[in-house]
Amino acid sequence: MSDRILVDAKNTFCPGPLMELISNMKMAEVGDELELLSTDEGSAADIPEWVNKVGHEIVDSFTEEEVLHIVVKKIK
Amino acid sequence: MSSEITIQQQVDRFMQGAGDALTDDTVARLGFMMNELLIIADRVTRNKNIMKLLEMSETKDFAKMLDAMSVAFDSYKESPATSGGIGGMLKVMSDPNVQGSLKLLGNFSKELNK
Amino acid sequence: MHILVVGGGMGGTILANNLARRLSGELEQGSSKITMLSASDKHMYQPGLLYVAVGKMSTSELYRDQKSLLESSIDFHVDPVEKFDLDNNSVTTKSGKKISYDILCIATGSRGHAEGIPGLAENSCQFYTEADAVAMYKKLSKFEGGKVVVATGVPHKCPMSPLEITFFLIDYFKKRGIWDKVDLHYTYPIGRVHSLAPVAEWAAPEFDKEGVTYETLFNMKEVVPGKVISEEDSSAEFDLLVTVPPHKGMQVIEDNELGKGGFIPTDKKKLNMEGRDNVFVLGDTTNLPISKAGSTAHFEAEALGENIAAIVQMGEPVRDYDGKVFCFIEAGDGKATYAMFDYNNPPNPQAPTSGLHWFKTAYNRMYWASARGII
Repeated sequence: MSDRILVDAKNTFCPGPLMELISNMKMAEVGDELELLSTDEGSAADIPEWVNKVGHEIVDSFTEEEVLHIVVKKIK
Repeated sequence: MSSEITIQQQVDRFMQGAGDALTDDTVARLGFMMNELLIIADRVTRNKNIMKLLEMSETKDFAKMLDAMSVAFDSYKESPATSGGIGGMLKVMSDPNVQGSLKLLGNFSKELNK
Repeated sequence: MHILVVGGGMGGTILANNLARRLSGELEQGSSKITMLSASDKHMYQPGLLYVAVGKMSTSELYRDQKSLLESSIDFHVDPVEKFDLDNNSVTTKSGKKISYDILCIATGSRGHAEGIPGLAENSCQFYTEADAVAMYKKLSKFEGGKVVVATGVPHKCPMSPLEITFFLIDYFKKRGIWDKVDLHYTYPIGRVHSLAPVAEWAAPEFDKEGVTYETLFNMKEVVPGKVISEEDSSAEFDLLVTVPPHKGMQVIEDNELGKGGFIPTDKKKLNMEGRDNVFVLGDTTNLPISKAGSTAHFEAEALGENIAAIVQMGEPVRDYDGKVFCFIEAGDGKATYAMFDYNNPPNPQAPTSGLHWFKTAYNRMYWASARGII
């Protein structure tokens, strides 16, 4: 199993956490897990909305020291 | 028309006037000119040679030198052609003004070679 | 100290000029040297392509000779790098020359990669190269009406371009008198019409006003004639498709395994390549989660110029890059606004004005002075 790919999008406005996740997802292989870090308030809703719509899987989600961590597995 | 208007109203009217008068093309041309002027000013002010030339041009000798070059050239154009040959050369060389010119050229060359 | 700048685009040019000014004494004495390697003898003003695509700028205005933009103390060669040997502080160029450096700055930029989406190149109009922008204008001028779809790939340079091309298309169709025959549909990869929330909040009602429909969470997967299909299992039919292609870094970066997708892992403040103290990266070439924009390259170049000069003169860098980005947004109808932000301060764009549109129009021509390091 490959290492988790860290996508540190803390304190980013443009392109922003979801777009960073989408870009990194494109470069990942099916089965890879990406851990996105975000301080954007909207991410808690935005990220799952996209992940569910496109058909990937949320493996884990937690907040640590005001940073949201979402782990997404590339399904297709 | 009241002549008393506020600063804000002045600014608003200026912008209104500018908006009515300016077109994209005008602004683009102005932008182009600003660009070229900035580049030229930047190059001139950081070019030691040009700045030196500017400094020299402020001395009265500089104007005198330019005048002398201009008069000399005009009188050369109008003067009869030299006859050539050794006799002609000796005649020219005996002219004290020519000897002075050679001395000037000699000094110039000496300074250049320093 | 030999400083090698690889890449003659906006970032590389501003950086090289900035360094040449700061290190003029050292360059004159010969204790430092700046070399620039580029793939082209010409410098293109890339933001101008958006204007070319809708007939607002001519292609001749896009270029100047690269040499004319550089300080005379910079040793410039049109001889792109093919191999990077970072362990031995050297590069090998296309002509076979091996060049050693003390400090390397990589600013090779990014490129549209339409091939990443099946059917995209042959079925859509784009405006990220001169050829594509001209082809788009020709296609637009023959278009007599129908469904126009705008779609955006990720990542891409010039974050404002999806909105700007849409507003420019509205202007264009209105000017031609065919706006009532056009059905304009805008799509965007995330859950709002732009990555910047305040910009999206302003733009969506503008779209409503103009009758532009929009679909969010739309990431292009494939294009077939007349239809673009998304990863999210949605699709949009079109008579004319205008796209912002997904981008990659330059091939040479991938070939040398310097970064996935051609984007090099870079420290967000010091701008050095991760794991390398004497290799710096700026502009689109970084993997930083910030806008791939000209202004980003500009501000990074200024920070890096100061830092590298300080390293040469004092042995230490003196400042961090603060993440500053400044992007104009052409809003159509002769108006523009801008979004400015950095790592700590979010954007707060104001309503568009004609004054700002003029500022942008003037800046389009004043860009060259900024490339020279004057503004």
